[in-house]
Amino acid sequence: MAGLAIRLAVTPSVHGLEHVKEQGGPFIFVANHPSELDEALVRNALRSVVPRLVSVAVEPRGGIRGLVDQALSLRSASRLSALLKSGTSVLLFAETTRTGDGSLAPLDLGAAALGIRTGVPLVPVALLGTFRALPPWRLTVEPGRPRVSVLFSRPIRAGSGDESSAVTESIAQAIEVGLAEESRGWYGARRSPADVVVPRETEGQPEAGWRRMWKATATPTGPTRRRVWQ
Amino acid sequence: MSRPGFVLSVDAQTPPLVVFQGEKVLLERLPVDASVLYPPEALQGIRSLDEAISRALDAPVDSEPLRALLKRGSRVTIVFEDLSQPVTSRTAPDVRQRVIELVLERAAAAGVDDVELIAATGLRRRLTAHDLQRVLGERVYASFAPDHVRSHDAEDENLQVVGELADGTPIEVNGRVASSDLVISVRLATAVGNEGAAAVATKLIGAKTARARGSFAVRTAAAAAEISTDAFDDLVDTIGDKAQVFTVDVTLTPEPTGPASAFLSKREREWSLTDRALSAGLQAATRILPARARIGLAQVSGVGYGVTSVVAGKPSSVHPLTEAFLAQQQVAQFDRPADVALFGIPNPGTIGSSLNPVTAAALGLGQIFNGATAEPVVRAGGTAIFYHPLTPWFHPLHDPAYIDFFAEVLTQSTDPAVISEQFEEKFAADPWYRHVYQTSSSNHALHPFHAWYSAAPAIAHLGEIIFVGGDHGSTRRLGFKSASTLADALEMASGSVGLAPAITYVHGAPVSISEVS
Amino acid sequence: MSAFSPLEGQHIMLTGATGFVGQAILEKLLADYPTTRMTLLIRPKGSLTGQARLKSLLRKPVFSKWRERVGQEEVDRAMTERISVIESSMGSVAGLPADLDVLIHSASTVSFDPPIDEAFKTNVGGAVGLYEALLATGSDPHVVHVSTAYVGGINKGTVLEASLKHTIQWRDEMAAALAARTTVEASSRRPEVLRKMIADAKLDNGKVGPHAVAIAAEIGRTEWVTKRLVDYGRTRAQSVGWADVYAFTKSMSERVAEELWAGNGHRLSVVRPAIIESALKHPFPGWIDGFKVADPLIIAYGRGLVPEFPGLPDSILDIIPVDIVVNATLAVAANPPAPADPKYFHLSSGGRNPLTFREIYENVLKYFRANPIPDEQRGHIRTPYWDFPGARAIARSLRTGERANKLLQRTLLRLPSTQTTRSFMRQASARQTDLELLRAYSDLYQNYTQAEIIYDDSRTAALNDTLPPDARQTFGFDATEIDWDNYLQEVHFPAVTTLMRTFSSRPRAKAQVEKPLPQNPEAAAFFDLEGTVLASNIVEQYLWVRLASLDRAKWPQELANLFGSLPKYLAADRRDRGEFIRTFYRRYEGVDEQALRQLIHDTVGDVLLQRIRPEAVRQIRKHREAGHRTILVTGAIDVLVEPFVTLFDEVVSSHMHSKDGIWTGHLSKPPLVDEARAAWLRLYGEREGIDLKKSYAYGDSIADRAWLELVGNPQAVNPDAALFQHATQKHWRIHQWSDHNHSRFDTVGELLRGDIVQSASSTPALGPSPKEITHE
Repeated sequence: MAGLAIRLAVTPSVHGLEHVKEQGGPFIFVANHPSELDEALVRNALRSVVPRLVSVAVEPRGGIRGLVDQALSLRSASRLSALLKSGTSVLLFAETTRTGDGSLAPLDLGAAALGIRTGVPLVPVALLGTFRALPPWRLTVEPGRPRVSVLFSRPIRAGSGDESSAVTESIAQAIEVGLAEESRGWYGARRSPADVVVPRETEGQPEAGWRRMWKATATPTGPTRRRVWQ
Repeated sequence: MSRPGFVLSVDAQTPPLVVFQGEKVLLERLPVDASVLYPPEALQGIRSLDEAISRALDAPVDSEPLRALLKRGSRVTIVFEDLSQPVTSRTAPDVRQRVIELVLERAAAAGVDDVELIAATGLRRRLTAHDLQRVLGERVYASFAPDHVRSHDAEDENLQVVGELADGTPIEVNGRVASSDLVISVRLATAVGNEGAAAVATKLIGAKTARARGSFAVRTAAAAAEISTDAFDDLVDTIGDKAQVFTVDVTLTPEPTGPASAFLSKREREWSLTDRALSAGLQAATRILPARARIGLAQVSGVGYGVTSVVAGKPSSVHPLTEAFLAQQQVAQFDRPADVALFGIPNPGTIGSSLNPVTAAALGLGQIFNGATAEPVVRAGGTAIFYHPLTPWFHPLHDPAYIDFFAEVLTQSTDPAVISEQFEEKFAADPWYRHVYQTSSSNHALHPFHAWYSAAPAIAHLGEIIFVGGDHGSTRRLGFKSASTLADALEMASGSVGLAPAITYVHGAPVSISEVS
Repeated sequence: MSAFSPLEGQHIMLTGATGFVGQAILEKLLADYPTTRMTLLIRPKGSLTGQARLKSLLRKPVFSKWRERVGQEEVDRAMTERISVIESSMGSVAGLPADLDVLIHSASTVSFDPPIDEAFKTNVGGAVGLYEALLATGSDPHVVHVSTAYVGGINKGTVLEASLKHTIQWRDEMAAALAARTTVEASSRRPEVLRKMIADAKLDNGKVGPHAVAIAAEIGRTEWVTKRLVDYGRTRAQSVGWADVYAFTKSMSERVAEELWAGNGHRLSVVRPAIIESALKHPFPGWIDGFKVADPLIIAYGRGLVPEFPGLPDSILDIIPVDIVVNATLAVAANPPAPADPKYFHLSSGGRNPLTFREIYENVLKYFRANPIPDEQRGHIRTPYWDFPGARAIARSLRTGERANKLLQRTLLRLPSTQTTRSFMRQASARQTDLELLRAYSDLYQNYTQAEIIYDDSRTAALNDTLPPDARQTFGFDATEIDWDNYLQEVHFPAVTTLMRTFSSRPRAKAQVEKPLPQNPEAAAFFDLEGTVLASNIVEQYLWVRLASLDRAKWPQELANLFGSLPKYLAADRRDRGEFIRTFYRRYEGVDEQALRQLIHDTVGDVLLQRIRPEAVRQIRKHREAGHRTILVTGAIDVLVEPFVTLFDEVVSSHMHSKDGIWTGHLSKPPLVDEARAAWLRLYGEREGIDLKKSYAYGDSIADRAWLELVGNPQAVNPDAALFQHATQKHWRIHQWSDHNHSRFDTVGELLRGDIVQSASSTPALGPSPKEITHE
């Protein structure tokens, strides 16, 4: 039901599922969290591959849902481990704070710790376009079925001896690569981390807040048919 | 361990067996005492492809790991096979996409900027944007289109000479490939048939070279010669002066793709009730539907591929390994060659198309020497019976040379020597064919000739060639006979093989168009 | 006399020597009257002089037996020494020799239903000129005037051998007949008549162009004039009691002979033969030159085309073999009457040896049952049984058949042209020919088979009796000697059907391998695009382009819009193809030319290429190999024709007017269609030195007729019904090139999939361009 709603509201495109499909068993999905659309979107993308999924955000949810979370005590690591052992996958929105402009905030170390502890593979998930589709100030999704993407990266298996900060860093990098695909293309996104010559920021200081917001809400220049009639 | 191939001897209890006939799937009752050759059951596909590929790339055979070969500033070209058939099931991404993604990740990590992807099409048609997207995946394609991903153009002006053939013709190879530092070739090999030549360069040569190499005279000479020394032996590991080749060989196995087709690859004896019901449904549908819809039906009941092994490294070392692995899949044991061999020819899975008669015949005849068995299934002078309608349908865009080959050349003669002398030059030099090959999506003008030459050894080996269900006009044009049922075909053949011949049916579909170009 | 030697040493003049009876008379004179001299009046024909015509005349089969007997040298000698030729036409007879002993006048019209003025000019005016010329010489030859038995008119009962009893004045009739032409010509130029001609011409030729309409209208007018004059003739003849204008004018010419020759104190004999058919004995049994009156009917019957026939079974068909006619005529010539007392002789069989229609029918039936005509398709033709239901029933069924067939043909012309409709069209045309034949026979033979006239020939019989018994073999002419069954079965029918048989039993020509085209650097091959080289039209091309550039969501709207405008376009097309093109191309307003070129280059070009006909490509290649220049002439826009440019040496297409790179929707010059294309072709031929007579042109619709006709080798490709009709009539080559079995739906499917394009702004970033990186 929710899946249908999602498909009617936006044009989702999912990539990288093959990495998930190949390995069986539960996963820990670690995703960025630009908008309220995210959970439903990821669930919809994973509906055929992962039968049971539970989602948790690092930043606590307000309202009724927060209460529900409290009741289910989903926020505790032990509870989550138990769920994982029983075969339920977990979707973690691991950003410590929700940025109001769609960029990636630093990730909480808990996700990595969970992975190290349970040995379950961590799958970085990058969500693109959801901020644009349902920004915080909107009640409903933007009309016109805006394009959104869900990009799954290769699962990261954390050994028991790994440092959670290192693992978190690799997760964050994977998500960043996914986010960079929008502007630089697939190869370009993977290319840029290796290139120390070209800096990410032109001036070396973070962009002004409004500029980030501007870029995040710009109309996407996705592929369209060539316009012949003017 | 999968089951080895085995030979079933048909008796009164044997159920009717699955035979592919173009877009139809028939259930035929074979005469008693016929033998049915079942290929070895497919090996399990690799479950975790990413891991297998990564392992292969990081621990290649006789070579440094790929990471070490990729340096910042290298000129890298990735060359991938085009089998003109869908590879891996319809929903999952193509195996080539998986390999190339992993390769490109390493290239990106190493800081390589000059990367190009080239489809090693040889003389086959250019891959359209849509085809390339299907092979490479949307994201990879989008990263490199439109300038850095393309098909090989045999008529290009910028070919480089990297050697010489036995008769002195220079070997011209794709310019980009010859001028690269590292060439990563992604090759596919199917369980039946072989991988083709060891050198991937054979699929990247220019038209003149291909013509000299593939001409009928050269083929007959090569077949007659004891030792095959190929001028391309030098080009296996290095192309030209500096291009080093690193190959990734992937072997495939047929896997059912559609829900309805699982039963087609099972042995009929072992069909469950559901399978029988599905088969009955398919039969009924085939009878009722018109031809064009039947082609669509094949999609539902089609056959795709799973991956059985991934090996990477130095081509001259990897190739024998692949060949040996594939040889395992062949049926080696059977008593003696039969008098009559039966083959079914299915349609390839691309939507809305069927095989044109020349290609279908070449595919069928290719099974004689390049089939599921190491030795030919039928004795010299025996009869081969194929199942294919041979409808004189040609793809209007892909096959303009085939249309004219069928209408002009085959009406004059079916003898490859005569064809090669009288018509090859004309076709090769024709500006229209070159134009549509280079700008549109058509097979090169020499393609039908090479297909016909590749079938010639089989035609010479056999006494009679009969097509069951074949369109009378086009079968005659190709120089074969047509019959409407198996009984009629055996009747026709009784003139040369007698009334009680030894019959062998090679079960399952031929899965590769043997090395045409 | 010891030896019977009639006409000994006489000088005989013969008119109409090139005709059927004339040839036979000449042959007999040469063969069996060795001492005679002949003067022939032969009209020069085209570039052939009278002498040349004589030479070719002597090669005809009638002289073969004589040539075999005496040898070619004798023939040549006879030609030079015994025959002299006077070249003149009937109307103006220059100096006749003054030493004639006999003049046999057997020249007349050939057809039964000529226009009235022609009939009078030849039969009556010719006789007048001849007799006046003869009078001018002052000599007194015995004139044998060959008439016809049917000058007796429509009568019942016996007709005696005597002068005709009627009061029609030949001079008045002649004047009226000649005046009729002037009247009818003037009448044909009246607006009412011309309007109808124009309307009919437009119906058939409107699509070709105004010039073609004008030509067709004028042809229609001349045909109308001829038909009217024929009607004048037939009706006038019938109103004064003759069956047709031939019999009428022949009777008038008898009057002329009586008045001008016998009336001036000279000797005149008139012979009136009935229906002259093949020879009984001389020169050989069954000799005949062309088909005579009864023969087409016999053939048609043998081919199973005549299911019934109007005629009374007991009516008498008066047939007389030609050698009897010749012998009788020459015997008459050898026995002149008293001056000013003309004698009449009937040469017929009906008097003493009648042949009823039923007897003929039974013989025909028996003959064709025993010797059926082989027919390629059906084995042998089975001849029908006749019931003789009577003239009325026949006329009714004929009328119904004709109406039904006309309706069928009109319907087929409106339907789109497919394989099935074309074969129906062929059948309908064949049926129309058969019906016209039946109608012609029906009208013609009515009079000959429904008459209940007996021609008494006692005078002829008496003349025959005067022959010495031993001469009867060679010179006799006794109609009672004829054994009809034998004559019909053994002599006449075989002779008449021989021609038919040899044609049918020719070995079937082997399927021909296409010969290569003749080399000729000055020839050109002109190709039309839509429907000929490409199996599509400009509406389709527009559709592909439009759909490829619109999002899928907008497709229904566009399609609805297009279908809504369809009536407007169809109406324009019916009026004028140029107008249709102009109206339709307004839809291209606002197109960015560069973007369109890119689109064609990337995707739509392939879609268009798929509709190309492979046979067309082969044909173009053949022309190229033969050194011909290949030219594409089309009304399509040049950007859309881009993918095919390499196939041709030259491409002429429409060009859209553009402003700042955007199309305004108007053409920059008038589209080259129909007659404009014809004019262009002519100009092109002159300018480039192309020999149009040796050139080729390929088109598919009737509108292409205008320029297809300009070249020496027009070819129709998958023609529509109207062009098919025209092409079969003119014997143009008709090609059937396959419509590709790649349906339009597949094309749309590919458009749906294949052409998402990255818009210009989002080019993938690969970092700095590879060119800027230096290699280590």
